[in-house]
Amino acid sequence: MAPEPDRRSFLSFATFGIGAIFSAVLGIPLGAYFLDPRHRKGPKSDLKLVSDVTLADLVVGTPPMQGVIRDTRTDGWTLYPNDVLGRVWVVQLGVRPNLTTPAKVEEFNASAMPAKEAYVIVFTTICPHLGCSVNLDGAGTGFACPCHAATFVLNGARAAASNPALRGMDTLEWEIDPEDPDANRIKVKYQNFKSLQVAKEPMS
Amino acid sequence: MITPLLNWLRHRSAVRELIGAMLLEGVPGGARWRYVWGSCLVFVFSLQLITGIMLMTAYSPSSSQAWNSVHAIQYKMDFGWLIRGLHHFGSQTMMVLIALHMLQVVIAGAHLPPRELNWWLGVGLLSLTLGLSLTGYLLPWDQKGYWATRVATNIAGTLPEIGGEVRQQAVGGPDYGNYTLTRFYALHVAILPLGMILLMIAHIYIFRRHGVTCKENQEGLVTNPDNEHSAGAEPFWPRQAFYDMLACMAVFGVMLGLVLYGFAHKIETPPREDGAEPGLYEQLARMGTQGKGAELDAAADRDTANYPARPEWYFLALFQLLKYFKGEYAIIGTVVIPNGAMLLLALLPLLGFGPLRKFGHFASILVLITLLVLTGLLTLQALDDDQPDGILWGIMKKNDEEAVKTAKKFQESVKEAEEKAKRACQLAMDGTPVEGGEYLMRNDPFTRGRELFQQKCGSCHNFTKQDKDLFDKSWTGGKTASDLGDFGRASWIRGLLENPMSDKYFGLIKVVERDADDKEVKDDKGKPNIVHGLTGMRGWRKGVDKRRDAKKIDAKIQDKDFDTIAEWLEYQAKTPKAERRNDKLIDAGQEAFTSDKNKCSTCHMIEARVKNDAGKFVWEKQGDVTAPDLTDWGSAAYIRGMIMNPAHKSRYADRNLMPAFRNIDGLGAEVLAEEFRDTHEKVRAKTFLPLTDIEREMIIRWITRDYRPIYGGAPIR
Repeated sequence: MAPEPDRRSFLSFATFGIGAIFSAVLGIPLGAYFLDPRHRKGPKSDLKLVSDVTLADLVVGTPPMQGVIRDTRTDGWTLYPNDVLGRVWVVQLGVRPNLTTPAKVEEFNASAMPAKEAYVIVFTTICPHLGCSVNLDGAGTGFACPCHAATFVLNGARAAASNPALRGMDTLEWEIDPEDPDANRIKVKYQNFKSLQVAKEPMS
Repeated sequence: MITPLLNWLRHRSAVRELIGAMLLEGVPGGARWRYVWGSCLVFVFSLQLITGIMLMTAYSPSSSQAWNSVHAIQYKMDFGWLIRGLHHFGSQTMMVLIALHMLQVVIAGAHLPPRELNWWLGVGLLSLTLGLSLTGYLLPWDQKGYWATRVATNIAGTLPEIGGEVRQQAVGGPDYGNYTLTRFYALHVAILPLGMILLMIAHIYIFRRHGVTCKENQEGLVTNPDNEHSAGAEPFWPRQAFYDMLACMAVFGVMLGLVLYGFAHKIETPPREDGAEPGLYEQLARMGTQGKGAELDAAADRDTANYPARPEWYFLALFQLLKYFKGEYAIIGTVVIPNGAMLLLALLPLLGFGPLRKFGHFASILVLITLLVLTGLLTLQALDDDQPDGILWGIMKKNDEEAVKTAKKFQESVKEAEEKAKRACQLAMDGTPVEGGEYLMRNDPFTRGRELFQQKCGSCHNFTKQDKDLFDKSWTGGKTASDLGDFGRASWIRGLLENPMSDKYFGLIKVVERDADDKEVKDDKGKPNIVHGLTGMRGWRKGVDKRRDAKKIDAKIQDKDFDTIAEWLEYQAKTPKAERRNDKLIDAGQEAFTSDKNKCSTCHMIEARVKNDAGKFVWEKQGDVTAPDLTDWGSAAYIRGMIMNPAHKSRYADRNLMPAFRNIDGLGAEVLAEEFRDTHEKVRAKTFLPLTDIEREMIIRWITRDYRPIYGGAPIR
């Protein structure tokens, strides 16, 4: 009843072979499907308008102000037409250059104003330690992260040597909204950065 | 290197013995092709488990997100179409294989004692499979699954006494929604599969203890308690394994064939951002957009007037039964017959004890085949009822006119539902609103805009179909205003210049005649005298004709001017100011518009493009405002102004006859309305009608043929 040995080995071989081919035919698409997240991208890090704060609201010596970055946000399949992408701290460090006669837009683009970080810095609220939201400390004279007690001074540098954060708060590139310079609105290049490392490096 | 590792595993796990026990089972009477069905079922069930787990990694069981996540699997994720397609057709394949398996078992008499327990386990597995199909059908939360499930759960509700409670438990509350999905999901991915696996293990274990049913092994365990099957039994490996493998591959081939044939809606994909053509991998990975894989209907919307609900084909027989038992007898079709059939199946082995065996065997075959044939006939009848010309090449042609009409109507609804499904799948490519997939369609200018136009504008305005789109339909219910079918296009303007008093333009507009003191003029019988309203263009055309008759202007040359004006205004309507680059058209249009010969700017104002002293182009208003300002005429902004404030001084001012349409929902709206009425006190039509912002934008986008869905939010996107 049992087949000849030759036939047996052929059948075994064929069964294994077909099984292997099938596993590949199904396995490759399964793997590709599972690794699909590699295609997904975060929002573009172009210049985005900061709402809730303008340069005119800032006063030297008062606590930093928080601004909101709103834009279209995509969460997987869901599109939020106007959602909060993130928040920023806007800190006035020094006296602003005289901006009362902003005749030409060109004067206010980023390259023409190398010194602007000397009077205003914009930080992302995301802690460089492990990504919690950094708040003002109780006195409003610096920043404190509620998660692991990272503390920063107003210019973003780490406040204490025992700080869990490995670098200061992450600054964002900013410029005065060129559409209407008189309105003193700020635009920032909103980005996320890799946490828990010394170097500031944008997340891919 | 590998051998010592294998030896280590062998000595610690007895894995070799385990594999041996699985593969070296004796097959009494030798390997046979007809024994493959059980293995095929295990194979397809395993495929269902694997693809099902994969689907779980991207599926979201919530009534607002389920459809959207399935849409992403089908159209956006690499090979999602393949995995979802295999899972979808896998469930249907299970149904066919179960029928074949049962048929083979009954023909072999393998359900008769001493194997009756295993038959009952099999009937249990059949019920669980039906349960998995039923629960899985709902999970995409598309129209099909939603309406089919409403029917199914309402059928459960007809059970005497306990029906209400059963339905409530199945639905997860009084109505369909999040809890329905979460409960069906838990049943589908955990409870039912776990039951399947346990029953399957028992089923296979008991089968192995008895061995296959054949001449040499009729009595199974009874005569062979130690599982030492009769001498000469062929081991399972390799021949039966090979047969099983080939059969499984054939089954897989059919499933793959169905997936590749494609039952999904084809959709257009935007070009890649880098402008490159998609490579072979990308084309394969995204074949869902080519319509490959399983169908996805539009997102479930409880607010659907006319959805042609039908269950999946293997439930069509039950659906058909409902038609024969109406009113208080419905329960016979919904509960008695289906459960009776299951009970009958379960009772089959009882006919096979002792001397009855031969009779029982014959009776079982007869019963099973009868059941299958009846199910088949009911299914065919159900399919036939829905086809005006009948199915099977007209063999089942209908003679009843009423039935043909019903079928025709059904097919029309199916066609509309399919168009909507295709539209929904296309729209969702840009992302779905957070409220849920159904809002894509609820806020879709293409499908909803026309309905809204009909409701809100249609008692005055007509709309003549212009394009071949399915949803571009004519509306002829308007009685007192212009036809907006081609508003914003050159043809509209050109027709207006030719004959302003035709019914398409100002012909239908009638007002009570008023004298110089704004008093109503009465006719002989003392009734108000009705005359044409908004007759400015009539006067203008009379002047044109007069000058043409007096040979003061050349009609041919002027008609060319009119063509230019019409073309230029359409260009303005469709092109935002910053993007207007067609200098030739702009200059020609402006010149014709402002020329003394044509006299447009004598009454109308428009923003013209002129060079300022510095030699730069600036926009500057030219003309007069005794007639509407035609700046950006026909654009969304222009129509928005007309809808919200037609009596503004730049539009029809005190000549206006149209009500203003505003959002007067919510707190504070009445204050705005009050303000509006005060400022328009002198305007005859100061009526104020409700229209939400989103409704208004839908109507505007429908008129301007801008078919982007409206996502809501602030600002409205």
